[in-house]
Amino acid sequence: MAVNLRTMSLLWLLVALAGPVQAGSAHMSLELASGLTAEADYWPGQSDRPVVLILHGFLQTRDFPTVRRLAESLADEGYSVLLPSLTLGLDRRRQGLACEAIHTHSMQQDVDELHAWVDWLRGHGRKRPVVVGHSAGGVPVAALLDRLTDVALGGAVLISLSYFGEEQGQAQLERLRARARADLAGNPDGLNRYTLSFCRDYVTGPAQLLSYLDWDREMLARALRAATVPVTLIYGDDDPRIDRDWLDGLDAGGVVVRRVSGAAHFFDLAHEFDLLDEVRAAIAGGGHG
Amino acid sequence: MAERRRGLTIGGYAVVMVVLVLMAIASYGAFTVSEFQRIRAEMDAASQQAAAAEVGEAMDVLLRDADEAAGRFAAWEEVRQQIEHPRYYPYWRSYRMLESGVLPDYVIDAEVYGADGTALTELEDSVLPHRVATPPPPAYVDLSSEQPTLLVFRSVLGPGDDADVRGVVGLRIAFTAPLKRSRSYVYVDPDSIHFAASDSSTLSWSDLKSAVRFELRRNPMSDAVSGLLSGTVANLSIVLGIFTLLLFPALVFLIVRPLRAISTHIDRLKDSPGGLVLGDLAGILPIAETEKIRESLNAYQGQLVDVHSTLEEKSQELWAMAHHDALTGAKNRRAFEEFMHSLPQALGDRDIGVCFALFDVNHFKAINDSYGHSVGDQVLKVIASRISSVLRKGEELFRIGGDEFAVVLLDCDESSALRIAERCHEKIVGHDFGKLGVREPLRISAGLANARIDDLDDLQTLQWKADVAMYRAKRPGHANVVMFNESLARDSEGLFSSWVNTAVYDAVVYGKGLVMYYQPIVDLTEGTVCHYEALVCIEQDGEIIQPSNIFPVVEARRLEVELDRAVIRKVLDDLKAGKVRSGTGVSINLSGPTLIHDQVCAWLGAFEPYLKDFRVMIEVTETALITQIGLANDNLSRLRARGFDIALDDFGSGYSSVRYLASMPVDVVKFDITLVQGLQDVGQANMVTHLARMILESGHHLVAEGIEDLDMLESARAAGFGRGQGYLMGRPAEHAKLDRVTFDNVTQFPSDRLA
Repeated sequence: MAVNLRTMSLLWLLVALAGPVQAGSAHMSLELASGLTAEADYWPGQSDRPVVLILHGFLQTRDFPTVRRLAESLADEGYSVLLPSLTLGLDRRRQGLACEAIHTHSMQQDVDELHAWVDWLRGHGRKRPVVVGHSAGGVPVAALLDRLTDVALGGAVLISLSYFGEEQGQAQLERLRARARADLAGNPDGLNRYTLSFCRDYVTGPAQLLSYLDWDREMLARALRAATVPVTLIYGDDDPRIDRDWLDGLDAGGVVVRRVSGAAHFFDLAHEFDLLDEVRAAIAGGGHG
Repeated sequence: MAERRRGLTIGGYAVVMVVLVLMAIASYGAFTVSEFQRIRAEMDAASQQAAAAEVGEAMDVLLRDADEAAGRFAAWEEVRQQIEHPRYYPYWRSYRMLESGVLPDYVIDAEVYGADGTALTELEDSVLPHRVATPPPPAYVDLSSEQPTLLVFRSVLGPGDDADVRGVVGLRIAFTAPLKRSRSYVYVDPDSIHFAASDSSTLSWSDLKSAVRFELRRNPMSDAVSGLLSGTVANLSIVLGIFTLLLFPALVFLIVRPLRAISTHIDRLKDSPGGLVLGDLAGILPIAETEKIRESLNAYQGQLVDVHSTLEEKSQELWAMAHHDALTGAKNRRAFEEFMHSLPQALGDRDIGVCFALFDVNHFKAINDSYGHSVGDQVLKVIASRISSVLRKGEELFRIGGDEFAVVLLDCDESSALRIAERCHEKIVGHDFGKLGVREPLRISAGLANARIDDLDDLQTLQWKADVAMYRAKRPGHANVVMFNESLARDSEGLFSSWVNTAVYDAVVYGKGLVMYYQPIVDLTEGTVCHYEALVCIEQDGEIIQPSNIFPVVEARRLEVELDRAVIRKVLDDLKAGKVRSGTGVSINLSGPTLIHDQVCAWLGAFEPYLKDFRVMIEVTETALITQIGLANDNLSRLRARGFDIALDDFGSGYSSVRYLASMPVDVVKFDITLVQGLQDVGQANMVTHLARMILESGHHLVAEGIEDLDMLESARAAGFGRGQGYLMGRPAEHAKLDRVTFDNVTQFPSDRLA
């Protein structure tokens, strides 16, 4: 992996409060080593309460309702909450990126940005932030857990966790990998239309695609099981987009799996509070601080 | 007189009315259509303005939408991604840009430019300029291609708040189609929207708004209303026109025809008044008003006939009243004049004799005054009845004056006429008027004149001749029935001569030619002259008009008072002139009207200075006295008290009522010659003598008139008369110089006898 985390962490820069933000939150900008600037909303909470970093789902932004409601609720309870948006290769990205858009980003870049924000928190006295990821946003969290072995995190809470290739099935995933590899061999800078996650027309380069496809369920399970910090998985038993068997299987491997009865993938409606309860419980139970 | 201008007939008015109604309908229709066209033109103009505003608004909206689309496009992070990493721009532009849904479908093409205004990649298929100015130009329209397109540019700003310009985006929009379907046009037919050709290949959007052309949307509702209104006006005009044209014959049939019938009927009535009835006028469609007119006309006609009959009767009554004397039933003077006027025509060529008889009641005025008008009227009725009873069939009696009656006897000679008149006289004389309270015998005088019918001049003088004859008959001593002859005409010349009339009038009014003759009244014992009776004559052109011709004219003209005043003045003049011997007296005759005049005492007062040298005696006749005897007595009493003597003249010629004599203030009674002559008659002498003696014993002086010889003188003396008057003592003369006469001294007088 070509990312120099130390260099990147040195480049982070808290810019300023800028633009309209939610009540109690601050608009944060972080200049990345790639030259791009990432943005986040930050609620500085009580010093004795855990710090929570919440990452949105695949191609979404921090304005996605599930993560924003969760962040605001935790902030209301005194948690310090950082809610960033991955740049996905776009400077100061504020819009969700369509599947059909040209995707130049990769899993490594996503993890680098996440890592940069963790470092940013740690640089501000928040030594062990709990990282929360929603849906496929849990994959970079898991990758970060895999990357950070110095127990820099207080824990991880993965909500409605899904992995890349889940929709395609294993056989199709393999064919996609094979194709990507072939494309990479033939024209590594070329753009191609692939299938990734919920995107049926996902335009990207083969290397970028493979960076995501690498994080299949085995690699993801291995990373979670190997995590040195508490990891809690929360899912709704009414979520058709997740592999519940796979998740339940993770429970047996030291990962806490919590099911919310009746909740769907986005924990909308009344399950918003269930989610909050579960996250709060996960943070507390995990000994985060 | 110009003929009165006639108006139009009712048919003419009907035609005029129909024409006017049709003209009014046509005018109203034309006016309505004109108004509708005007309103529609105004609506079209308003619609044109609204349509222009509608198109302009639509273009503004389109431009705003395009600008907003450009803004959204510029704000799209993928655009900024392409500016920052243009490596995959051709791919993105080809497969992502237009397919993303960010750009509206009316965007033909879009281009992304760098911060320097250069397109990220120069592509052959781009229809946008390769370079644009920075900052980007405002939107403009490209007219170079077949379809005009709108080019809109927006700057692409960086993320964050620094808003640095990262590039430019441009859109080419085929705006015509979206302009047409961008909204539901109310006024504009969207398919008609197009733009006028321009010399320039580009136009600003505002210039394009001026070049837009369109047609108005047809308004089905307006067209329907227009058609409906036009149709309604046309149908209404046709219906009203037909109705009016149908109304005309109906009007003629229902109104004009009956009115013409009424008019014709009225014309027929002018020619045949009465008896015509107007039949049914309106046939099977009776009009109440015309039927009412017909009924009223017939009723009026009936009433008119009744009125006409009544008027005829009344007219006959009026004619009868106008031609008959209401008192006597005889025809009146109007009928007499009409009869005389029509007599020549009525008689035609018949050669027959015509006799005119004129009857007059003697002393009728005295009867009227003595017994009252009621008795007088009864007397006249009896006289008319008596005369009528004598007349032959076809002969009519006319009352032509108060007591004057006339009869025209046709086919009658003089002897027959005389017999008829005498018979009339006999009938009247033989009637017992005592039943009416009239004690005196009643007489009539009749004057007759005859002529041949073929002698018109003779016929026209008949009445005059009869007047002359009647006047003669009235004179004392003549027969009561007198037939006219030429000698009567000569004797009556004074009465009927115009020059005599003129002379009398001049004498009475101006005193011209008036001459007084004085006849002595003598004391029969001593021969002294007591008075000279003043007798009036008129000298005219050397001729003398005698009293017998003067008095009829005076009485006819009612000049009694004027004559008496002229006589008074003349006698006074004579007294002044010494024509009357002093120591004697004058006796003046006064008429009845003078006696009752309220100034008579003043007039006679002029004699008072002479009363010391003259005796002045006023002679009145009993006829004059009995007319308003009270007033006459009052005046006579005053005169008597002032020294005048009062004498009753011609006593015995009339009624000789002793009752009157007893009640009158009379000093002297002058016996009429008829009574004096009666002294010569053995039968009458005794009565006259006793009458004279009775009056003498009552304190009156007596004067015997008409003493012409010594025998009469002696008889008078024997009867007790103290005074006498007559030719024996002296004839009337202009000068009265004697104070004593001898009875054989007779003064010559130019006329026969005046007294």
